[in-house]
Amino acid sequence: MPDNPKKNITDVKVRMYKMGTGDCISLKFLHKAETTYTMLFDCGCITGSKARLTPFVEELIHDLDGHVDALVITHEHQDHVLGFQRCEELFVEGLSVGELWMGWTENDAKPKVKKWKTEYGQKKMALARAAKQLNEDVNSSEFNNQLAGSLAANELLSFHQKFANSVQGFADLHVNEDEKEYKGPLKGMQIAKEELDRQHEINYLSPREILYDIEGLDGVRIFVLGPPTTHGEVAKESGEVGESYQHNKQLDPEDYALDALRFQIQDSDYFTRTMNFDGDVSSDTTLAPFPASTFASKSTLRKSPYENTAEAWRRIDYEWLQSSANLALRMNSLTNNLSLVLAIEFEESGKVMLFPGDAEFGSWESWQDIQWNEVLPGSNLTTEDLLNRVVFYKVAHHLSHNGTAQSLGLEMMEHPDLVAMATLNYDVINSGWKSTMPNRAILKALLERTKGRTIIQNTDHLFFDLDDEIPLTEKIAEFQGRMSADELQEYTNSLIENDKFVEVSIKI
Amino acid sequence: MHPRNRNLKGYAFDPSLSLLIDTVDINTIDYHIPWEELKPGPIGEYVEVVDYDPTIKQMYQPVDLNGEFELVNSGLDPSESNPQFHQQMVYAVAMVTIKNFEKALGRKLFWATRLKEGPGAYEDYVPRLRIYPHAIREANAYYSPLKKAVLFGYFSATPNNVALQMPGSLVFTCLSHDIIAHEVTHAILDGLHREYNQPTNPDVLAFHEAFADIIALFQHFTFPDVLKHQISRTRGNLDDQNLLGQLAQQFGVSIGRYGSLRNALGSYDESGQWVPQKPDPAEYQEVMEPHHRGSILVAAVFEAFLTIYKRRIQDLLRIATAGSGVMPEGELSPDLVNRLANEASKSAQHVLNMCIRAIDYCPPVDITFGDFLRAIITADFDLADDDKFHYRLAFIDSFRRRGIYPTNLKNLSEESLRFPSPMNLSDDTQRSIRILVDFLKKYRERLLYETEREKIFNITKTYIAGSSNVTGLHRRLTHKFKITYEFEKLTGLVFNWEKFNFGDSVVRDRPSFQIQNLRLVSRVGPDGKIVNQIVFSLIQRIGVVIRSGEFVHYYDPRHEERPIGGIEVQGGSTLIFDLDSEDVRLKYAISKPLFEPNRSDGRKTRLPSTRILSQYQFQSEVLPTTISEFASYFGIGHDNRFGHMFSILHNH
Repeated sequence: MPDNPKKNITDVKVRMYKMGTGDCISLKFLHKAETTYTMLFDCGCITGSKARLTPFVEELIHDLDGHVDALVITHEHQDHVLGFQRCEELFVEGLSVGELWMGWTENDAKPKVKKWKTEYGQKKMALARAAKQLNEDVNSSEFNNQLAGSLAANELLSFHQKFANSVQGFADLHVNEDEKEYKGPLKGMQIAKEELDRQHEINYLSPREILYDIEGLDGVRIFVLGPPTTHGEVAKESGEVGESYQHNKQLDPEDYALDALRFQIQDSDYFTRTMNFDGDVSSDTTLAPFPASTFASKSTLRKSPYENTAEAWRRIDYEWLQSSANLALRMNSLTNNLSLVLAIEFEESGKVMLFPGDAEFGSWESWQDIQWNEVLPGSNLTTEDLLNRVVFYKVAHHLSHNGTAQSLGLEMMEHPDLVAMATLNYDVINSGWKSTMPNRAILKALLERTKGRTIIQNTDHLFFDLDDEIPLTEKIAEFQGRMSADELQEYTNSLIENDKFVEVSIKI
Repeated sequence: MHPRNRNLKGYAFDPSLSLLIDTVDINTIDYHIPWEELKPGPIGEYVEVVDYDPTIKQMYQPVDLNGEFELVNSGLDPSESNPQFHQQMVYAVAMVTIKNFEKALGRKLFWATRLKEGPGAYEDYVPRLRIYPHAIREANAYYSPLKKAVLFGYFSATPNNVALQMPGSLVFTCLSHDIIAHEVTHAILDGLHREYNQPTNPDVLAFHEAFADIIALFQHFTFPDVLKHQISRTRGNLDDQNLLGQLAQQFGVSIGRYGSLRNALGSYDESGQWVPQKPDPAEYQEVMEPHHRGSILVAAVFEAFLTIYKRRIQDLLRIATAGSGVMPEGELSPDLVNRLANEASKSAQHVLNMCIRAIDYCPPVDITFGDFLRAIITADFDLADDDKFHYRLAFIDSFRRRGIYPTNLKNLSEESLRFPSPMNLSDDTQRSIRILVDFLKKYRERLLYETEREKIFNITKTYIAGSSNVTGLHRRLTHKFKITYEFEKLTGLVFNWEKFNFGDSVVRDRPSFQIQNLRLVSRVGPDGKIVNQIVFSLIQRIGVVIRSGEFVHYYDPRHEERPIGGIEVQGGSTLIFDLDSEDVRLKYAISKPLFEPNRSDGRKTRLPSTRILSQYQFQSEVLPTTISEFASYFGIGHDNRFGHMFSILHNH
């Protein structure tokens, strides 16, 4: 017998499928030439028909040889799970799963989580309805009439239409598009959870957990960073001392975390109820803030300035629906922050691969508070220490400005071999996202830190500057000039790219 | 005959303070509104309250303030559950705010006109600001420049502290004095300086927010009972945390913060102690988010107020403490409280007036905090020769402590901060200015006894655009005028394109400009000094192409699509004519130039002013990184001209 029977990981092949803006990333862990373990992070993109996505999924299943040791679903957004829905048969028949990993917030078996999910479902339904209503309204002739005559009426109209369209984009992330309204979780999510051939129970993960001694992953520890159960930042945001939410120490941290989640969107309760109300709002008084006796008669309304046709431009029939944009944004951030965040550490080299899903700042901030010594007695490991050693970073939220924390994130990634991978693709994207993705500051910082080793799903139509003058590819090449000839050669050799995927091999 | 005032009950702050035993007695006050005929709504001369709730497609019965009960009882009693009281509350606070402006400005207020499109259409007079007390179901309220309306929201509370606000209870933003005053000020400012919603430098949007907060804040000091109560509670020390220095409490408790003020003046430390905010000059350099940046200006003005107040009460404190400066234990004597409150009220009224008056001395475009400081100092100097309490110095000092310096000044003395009066102008320039002056005299005569706003508006419009028997100001400037380089430098505007390099672009028209806010001003100073002036603004638009930070050429944005590196810029000048001197003369030209002035007009191409290059730098590099997440997702791009509508700026 050799002294060391362990098959330590020597390389990891990371493969990103080019399905469109959204994540579908497979990992092969190698000991020399032998694949000892496989993982799949999500399978989705923002839109896509079965026909368009099939070739990608076929390639994926073929490459994994019909089995993945661990399937990781980071969070419930279409751009992370749509693939399972569209290519359900391929997955059900062609892919067997060892383990399924999800965040603790997906564990519906717990009544409290389930209750929170039901409430959250109400918001999703309200958002879906509001988006639909808003889109109908801004395309109505009445809306057009109200703008008519004002300076730049056409520009205003198209501004409102784009606005409504952006809201729709957010609504689509949360709701199955073939349902008229919200009925339950995304189908892709449900299929991944219930339909796939799976060998083990679902593993719902919470921060501070560490997975180790996994068969096929010798010398690997997987640190769970998110979704957060500490929401100190919620309280900090929302009140001063004396007004702020007092953290009750006796509360179960999960209870507290769920309350904090609820808190983030609770002030829209009234809007939600109104949106979800079936029937004639004007004749129902349960939704009115005042009793029906305070309503004016029809004739009073007719005589009021509101009904003056010459002043139709001052009517406000549609403004209130714009609140849905605020709701959309907060729900988007909330769900993003529910992302399962994993840091995969290779003990021998100390290198770390970071997969944050779409985690936004609140989640990034919470990682720093994790006390690792509570599970690793005697260790002085910190999250900062993990981030210092990151050699591969899956860029959160498609290069949006809030996806990557600055001082608590990117600036801690100091490893000279850092490679970043971003799932942004302008060929398949929400129109509203184009104005925030890519964020130029993050893009620049990434290029600097990775010396141009930043892999983007599709660089077509992407520019480094806001005037669209400097193509991004040009800038990437420029930054790659900062590598030594050997480094550059090694990096180029580690890449494989075709029209379905791009793969990079990370040396451990 | 009618009474001088109509008294209407309302909350001094908002309903939440009526639930606290400490403040219940002072939270209901009478607002005194100059009498005007009102129709149910209320609909008056300046505002129309239209209580249509689009979320349930219902209108709430409009309040009739001429009803017997309402007349006898100072309107309806404050009530959260009666929408008619809500209508009364928004009307009362809006009118108080409007009247404060008119008093300080010395003229009638006008709302921004409705700009139109189509053959022959330009703008429509808007007689009344429309107020919708129940327009949206969200923790938000905003002024819509498009609809000339203020929309108030209501929402179910999600308080941090359930003792202050019942969870799930409704919060109405239209019941908060501060929110109403803040939004109405946005509307007033839009009527005075329409271009102040263009983010041409980091200060512009911040100024809008700060100015609205300043008005709301200083109106607190005009409520005598509140003032006395708080003076008594803080024992005269207004540095301490107190109600007067807070904005929108109920909103804050229910959702988070509102406006820019919550952390502007101070905050609680970890042990719950109130710590006043220390001025940090670095903040003005670094903070770009409009509300946060605005809070720097609010804090500067508030500190100036405190300095003035403390100076005014020095003698009182000496008397009260027998020279020791140490207040005795126990409650202050009511007489002392009255005297202190009187001084606080006077100081606040003064600061409020100084800030409002300064608005007429601000450039029509691209305002900075430094410009505002200069405007405050100049306007106050014109009205009060003798600054015996050193009010102006208090302002200069508190701005300086926050690192807010006007550009291109050698020092911060009062003399150098004052805008200079144009002197030693050439004969040609003087002749031209005389043409203007003659015209302005006629305008003044025509307007002298006119008090009806719509008539004033129409006469002014005729005097700008011209008619069969009046040669309009516009025509005078373009035809009769002999434009000298001196005059162009004075105004920073361009009257012919000869020396402007347009590259390959075709220039079809002569330079055009807009005339805004022609107005007759008559003000009374603290010592009874009367100032009579005529003010108007000229604004000009041009396109500039800049590549890699270097000017390339100009283009005409009216006829040409935006080229790569193109940016639309505005220059403008506020011209103030003094009517009191023997000879009417141009007293100030407060300008934001389009081109970089030289000593003399050479043959070379005129280069865009450095201000324009910094605008380009700001809009292309800084602005995209500072706009809110909301604006970037829904404003559709950083160059969208509607992306900065106030609804979007106001999202939390």
